[in-house]
Amino acid sequence: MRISLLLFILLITSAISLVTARHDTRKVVNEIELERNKALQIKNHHTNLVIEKATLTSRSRIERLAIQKLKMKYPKREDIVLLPPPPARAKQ
Amino acid sequence: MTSKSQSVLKIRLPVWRARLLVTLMFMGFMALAARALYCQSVNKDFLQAEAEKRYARTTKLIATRGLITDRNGEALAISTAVETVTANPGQINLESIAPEKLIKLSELLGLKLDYIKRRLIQKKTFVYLKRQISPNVAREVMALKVPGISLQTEYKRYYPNGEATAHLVGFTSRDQKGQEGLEYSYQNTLAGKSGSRRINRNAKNQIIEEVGTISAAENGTELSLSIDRNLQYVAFSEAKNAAIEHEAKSASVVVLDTLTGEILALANWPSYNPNNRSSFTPKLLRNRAIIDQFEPGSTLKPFTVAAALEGKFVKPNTLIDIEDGRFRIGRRTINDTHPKESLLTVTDIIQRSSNVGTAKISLMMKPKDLWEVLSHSGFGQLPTSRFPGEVRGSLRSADNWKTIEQATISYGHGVSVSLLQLARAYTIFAREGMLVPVTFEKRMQKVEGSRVISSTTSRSVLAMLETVTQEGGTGTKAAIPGYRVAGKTGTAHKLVRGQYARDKYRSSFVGLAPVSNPRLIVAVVVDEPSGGKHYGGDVAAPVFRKVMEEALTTLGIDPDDFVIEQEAKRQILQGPV
Repeated sequence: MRISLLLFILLITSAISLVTARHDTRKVVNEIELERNKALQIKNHHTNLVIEKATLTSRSRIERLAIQKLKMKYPKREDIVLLPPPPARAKQ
Repeated sequence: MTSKSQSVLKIRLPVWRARLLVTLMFMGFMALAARALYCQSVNKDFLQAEAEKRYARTTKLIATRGLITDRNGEALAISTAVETVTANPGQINLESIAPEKLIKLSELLGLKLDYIKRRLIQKKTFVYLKRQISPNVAREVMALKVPGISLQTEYKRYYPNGEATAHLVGFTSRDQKGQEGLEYSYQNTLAGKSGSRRINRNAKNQIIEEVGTISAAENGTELSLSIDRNLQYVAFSEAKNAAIEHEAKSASVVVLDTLTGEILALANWPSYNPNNRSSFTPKLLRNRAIIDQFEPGSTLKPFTVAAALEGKFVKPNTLIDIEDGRFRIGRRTINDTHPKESLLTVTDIIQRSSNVGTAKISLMMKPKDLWEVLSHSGFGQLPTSRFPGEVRGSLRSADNWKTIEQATISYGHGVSVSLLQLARAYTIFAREGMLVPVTFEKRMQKVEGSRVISSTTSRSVLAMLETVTQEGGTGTKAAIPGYRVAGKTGTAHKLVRGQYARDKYRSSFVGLAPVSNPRLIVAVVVDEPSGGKHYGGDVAAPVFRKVMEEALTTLGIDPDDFVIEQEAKRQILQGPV
């Protein structure tokens, strides 16, 4: 009689803990899913930033900005003076 | 009261009523039990599967396509997430949707209202409304909460450098499959493998359980190209400028690193915008530098001279009688276009690009001698760059060359090559006789080549090629102050329906720098310049100079022309005289 009571209590505890465990799993799975989505969003954001960087640093854009905004210009042939390389490099 | 209740108790109900009730109840239970038995054993599989369909799902794990970068890690092709709006017309009752929602939807998607309505009354369970829209617009669409409309995440390739790298990198289909260029050749490594997993969802469509991953997604591997983004842009814009200035059909530029065999830039004009599919026409898609073959003309002469030097038929200072620029072979006459003299050294022949001189040198050899050098330099062979559709060009076997053929081949007529092949062949003059394998992949280390000619021959030809950019040469416009530059001009009549067209030319220039230790080769070809100028020295050489100058500074190569440096030093120390 005692044993069956004990077993009954054990059975109930086990059943309840099974339910809580399942509930917890669901919560954790949901959380991990949210985190995964977040990671994906961050990755997408990173991609967009890479594209933005590529666009902003493109040679054509820099050239255009330098000429139009900063009023820079390419030096003419006669404006370029070549200096001999420093002795250490000249030795090579 | 008592007597009355007693009398009620005394009423005896008929026994059959109780029995009937018991039987009915028993039968009810039996029916339930039978049904339960039926559901749980006989029909179990079907019902379980149906139930699972309601909550369990196999979802695709999308693999992202590998990034393509240039040699410095700058993105040339990248996959971005986009949303595709899909609908299930079966779940949609058009009348029940507020009209203003539909109007808003059509505005967001940029579609006509009629079109959307037509799509939504189709008798299907799945239709695309609009493919590949930005995630921000997609979010607004979902905020409308139109039932039956859902999103699918897809990836779209984006090419930040647009038309400058279009031919090289190529593009993918809407489903991320490489269709052209390097996207096509490296499809296997770039694509990766999409995986799948099984999940359970609840009524709110939240994932409540991950049953298991059937296969994990393997993202595509990144591809680092040998290309330098900035140099590529310069090559492209110079090709474009030259083609427009000289009213040419097309122009191409190739830049090679002679040490590593890496292709630093390869550009063509006209090009297309890989981010806009409507600009695609077969004519624009062609990567002319690799896929088009043409008669190289005079840019082939150095190889003839190399073969003759190698076989000890001539020395650089051997005098050749060029007969005032007219040389008859059978019924054909070979002409020289550049200033005529009667006696020229071999060096002069290269410097002034004499057809007669080259033809005469060629006829001193056996056909096989010339053929071997040409063939070993990669003419008539695939360049094996892994670019899809690369051509091998044509070089006929020496066994059946006629005399006239042997003469014309020596100055680049009767053979055809691609610009990439031509650029690669010039590595034998940069690497002391070694032909270097070319690649589009970042290599970053010296690569060994295969020997074609001796280093002595190679050095002699290089010295001759240097005279081309010096005073008296045909390529003076290729000279770069501070650097010693060697190169060769080419002006070939174009073949039109098997006949050489009188007024249609292909101008080219192939050159190396710095001569003291050639690190770079730049090859330029301009097709049908019709703005008045057509000589390679006038049309292609300036393009060469600009691209080479940029390449030398990009790679940080020291100047080697000390004459000019001494002059500059003097100017700085003493001021101009």
